[in-house]
Amino acid sequence: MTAEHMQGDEPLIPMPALRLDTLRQAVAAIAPSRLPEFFQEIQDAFSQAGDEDSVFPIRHFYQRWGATVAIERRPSVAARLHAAERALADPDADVRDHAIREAAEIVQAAYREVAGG
Amino acid sequence: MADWHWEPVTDDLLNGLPSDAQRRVRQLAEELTVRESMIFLDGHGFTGEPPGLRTIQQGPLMLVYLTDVRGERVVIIQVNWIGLGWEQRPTSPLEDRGPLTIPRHARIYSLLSVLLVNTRVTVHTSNQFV
Repeated sequence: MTAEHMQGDEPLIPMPALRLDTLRQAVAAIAPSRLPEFFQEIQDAFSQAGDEDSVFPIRHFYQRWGATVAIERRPSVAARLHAAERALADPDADVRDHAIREAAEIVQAAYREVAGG
Repeated sequence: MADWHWEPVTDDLLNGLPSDAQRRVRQLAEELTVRESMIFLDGHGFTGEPPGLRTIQQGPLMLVYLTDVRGERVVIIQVNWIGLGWEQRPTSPLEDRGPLTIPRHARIYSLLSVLLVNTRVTVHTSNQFV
């Protein structure tokens, strides 16, 4: 199975633009429990940006949360990723290897989607 | 840190990244691995809940990684590198000038407006140029 989307797994929402307001709305819609994390990270990003005189922390914030939304808006993809994360507790090294590859495929597909690829 | 090590999820993960980016990936991954080895002291004997997907950033570089505690390894699964367009030209004399820095006068109050203007910024996502 590839990281691309399974048939019949329609996204819950369209992919939002990488702006603060649209990302916040998307997170609120599909992963509301992660809103505190979202707000903490944007605060951290702006603080770090000010400390470093750099826009990189803010751009990374947008990429990271764009990818998060790209994953979470498809419940089956999100479920596969979270299962892979849990599988890293397995004592079997082969199971952990498979889980890492599965997670990588999902994450890389999400970042490609964020990048418009 | 015993047997702890880091590895890219695939051999070609760093392909296409500028040389400076590759150097910084290796440096940051090494630091990350040392940190993880100090946090997860149980290593092979670890029976807790795995930490899951995480990110770390340093300047223009962001790594997405998983820590396989039982395997005593950090696996880098995604590399994002933000650079200016000239960093894509390997023959450029500017190649070795180091990471992009923002002028000192670009304080926090200007960051939002900086994000809105159409600066020529390129994002490398693993082996993909965007």
